[in-house]
Amino acid sequence: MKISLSRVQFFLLLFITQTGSSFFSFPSPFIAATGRDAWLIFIVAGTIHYLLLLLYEKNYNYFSIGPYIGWLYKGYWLFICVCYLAYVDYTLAVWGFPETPPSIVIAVLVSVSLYANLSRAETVINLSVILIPLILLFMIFLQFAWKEFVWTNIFPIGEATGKQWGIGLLKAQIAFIGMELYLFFRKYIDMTQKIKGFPLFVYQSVWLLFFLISIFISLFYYTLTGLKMIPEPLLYLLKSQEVTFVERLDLFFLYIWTIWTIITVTIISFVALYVHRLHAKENRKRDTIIWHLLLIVIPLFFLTKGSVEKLNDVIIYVHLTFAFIIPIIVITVNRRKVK
Amino acid sequence: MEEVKSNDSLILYIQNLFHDSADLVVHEVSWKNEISIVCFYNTMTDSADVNRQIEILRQRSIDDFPKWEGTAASSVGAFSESQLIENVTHGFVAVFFPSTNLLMTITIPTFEVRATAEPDNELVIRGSHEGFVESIDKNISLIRKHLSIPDLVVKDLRIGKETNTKVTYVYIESIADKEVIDIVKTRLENIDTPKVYSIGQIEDYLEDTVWSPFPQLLTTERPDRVVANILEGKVAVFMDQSPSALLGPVNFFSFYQTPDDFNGRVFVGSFFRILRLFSFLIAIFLPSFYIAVVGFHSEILPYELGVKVKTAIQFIPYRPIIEAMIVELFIEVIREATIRLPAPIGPTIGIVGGLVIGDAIVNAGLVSNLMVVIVAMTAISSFVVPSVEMNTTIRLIRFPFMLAATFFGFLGIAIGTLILFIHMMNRSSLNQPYLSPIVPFDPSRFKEVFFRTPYYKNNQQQKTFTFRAGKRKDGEGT
Repeated sequence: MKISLSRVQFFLLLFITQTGSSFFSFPSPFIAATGRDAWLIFIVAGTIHYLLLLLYEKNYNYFSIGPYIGWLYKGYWLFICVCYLAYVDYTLAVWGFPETPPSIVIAVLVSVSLYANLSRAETVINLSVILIPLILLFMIFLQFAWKEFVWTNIFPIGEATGKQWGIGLLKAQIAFIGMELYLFFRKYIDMTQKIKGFPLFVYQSVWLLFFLISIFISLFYYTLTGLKMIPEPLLYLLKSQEVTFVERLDLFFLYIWTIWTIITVTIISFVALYVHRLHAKENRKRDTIIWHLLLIVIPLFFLTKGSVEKLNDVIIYVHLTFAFIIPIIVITVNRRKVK
Repeated sequence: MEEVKSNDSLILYIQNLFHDSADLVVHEVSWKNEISIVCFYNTMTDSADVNRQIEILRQRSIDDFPKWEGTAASSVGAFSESQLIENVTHGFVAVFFPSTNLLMTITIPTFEVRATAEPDNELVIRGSHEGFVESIDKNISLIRKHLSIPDLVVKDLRIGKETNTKVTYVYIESIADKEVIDIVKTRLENIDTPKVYSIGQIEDYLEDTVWSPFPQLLTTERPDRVVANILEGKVAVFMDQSPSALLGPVNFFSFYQTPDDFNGRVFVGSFFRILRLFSFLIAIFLPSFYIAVVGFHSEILPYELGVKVKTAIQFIPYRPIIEAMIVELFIEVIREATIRLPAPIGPTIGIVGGLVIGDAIVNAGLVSNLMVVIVAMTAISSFVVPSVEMNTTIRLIRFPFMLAATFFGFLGIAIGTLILFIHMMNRSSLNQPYLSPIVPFDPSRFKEVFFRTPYYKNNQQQKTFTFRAGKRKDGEGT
């Protein structure tokens, strides 16, 4: 499979994967764990994110994995997709389809990824373009709530304890999920396009700003006690917005978020199948179908509220393994081999 | 021909070759030193013109002109039966010299061709009001009239063993992509069918896949549109006896551009282009949105509007999808009837169908007045597209969206949108991406999609699905 990416395509792919499913659910547990200083803690977490990106950029050439590590990553991505699908199905069941069998809803969602992954590589790579106008709309409508913002909610600053900082930095990892794709796609970027330096900084800033906005809006709009009771604060915020032309803005954005998640699952499935093809004998159609059958079947075992919450707790630690520990080990080993 | 001994038997032989057709003229003509057989269809060639040309040639022969048979209207070559048939069937005059076994061709066909009127389905407000006609030569001359350059290349070939149809492709040598020209040439040469009588057949063979509702070649009857496109490096394909030209490679957004965009002011052209693209969304999503709202998500409506909707639909005996199907199919029937009926009756049927029957259906309680409003807006939006092919495509693809909305509400529309988007991303026109500049994603070219730029900057087509390869460079083209 030959892929050639532009800088814009690469960063868009990474951004959509990183913001994908977690964007709506991220602020609530993060602020619950960190309190008013959530934004400060996230800025520090963002710095770690940037350092990690710089590390990836410096060493992506050394990130070459064998079949065993490949299988570990495939398992990780399967886990991520299952978590996302279970969560989106659970949310859809609560908000829109309480009576529809979950297997049907998940099959419908997964069918999009199957179709895209059976198409040419460029289709998956460019699929996220459809989200650009939708994300802009989403950000615009979020700002409609500004009249009800209580700006003083973020004060006093600097009250978070050491424990809150620790938990906060850990919870912030939800926003990092998907960043390991940097290591897999970086080498396919057109050689004439610069990534190091300003372009990478711009990407980091956009990513940081995006999540910071969600944290600030949640802090401004809700009290800390209120936030603990609301699993998707941004969705509830949109629900309470009064606009003349529509009564329930949140429903539109629920389905925009669903599209967002489907595209994230599609991209992750694409990279998993791509890694599979690096080491396994190629039977593209069969492998793609098997992968998507797994995506339909496995989430069905995790559709309760308890299971979804448990998955959300575990996902951070699994992510740390695959975004920090394994890449550092692989890069170190390969660097030594080269020396 | 060896068995042919006399001119009488030769005439008989030629008559038999053309099945003794009533309009076939075969007779002897005397030259300075020999006798020849002249053969032509008098329905395709004017007999007086033939006599005049033969007289000119005979005089040149008598005056012992070197190469007297070669004039602007005549040429000579070795005789063959197939050449004789080709000449005569194309409306030329064939002059056979049995003693030297030479065949002289006099090219003076006189076909009845209608005037170059503006095509009814591609009207413009400003700009040229010429349109193609059912003569390939006249159509090419219309192109040449616009482009007085030697770089304009016209290539001919004949396809269909039984119909021997002339197909011509036109491009500008210095601009057109060689790969595209090769693809067009190969696909045309590979057409293996005995009968070719419609440009639609050619389109099927030229398209990358016929299993898509989206047209992959732009059909036009306007010379100015062809000229603008071949100046961008595209190839135009003509078929004799067809007033339509096929243009490729094109992308989806090409179907939303008209010559009016470039004839009008920058802001006006840009505004109407954006409006057309917006109408694409209305034409596809409005009925399915209505079905989803009524069937699944009535809570999104503001209270006042919700009351009106509920009042309008509460006594309708059918589900929204049935209601929508009744009106949609009714509109399609009216449209089809309006096209088939003679021009003076068509508008009357439109008024009777649209107003009288539409009002009666609402009064009878079969459908709600809101549904009539929705479907009427959808129909009008679909007619905004300046391409008949894309118009029919849009009308077709709204039905799956209506079904998806019936089963899953907004989720169905969301999933349908993604599937449609992926389908369009997978398509190509003469192997080049159909959804360029989205595939490959190139934000710098987005302005070309939505805005009419201040001057006509001819850009080459995006050639591959992969970024970089085939990206146009500024200054390329003309």
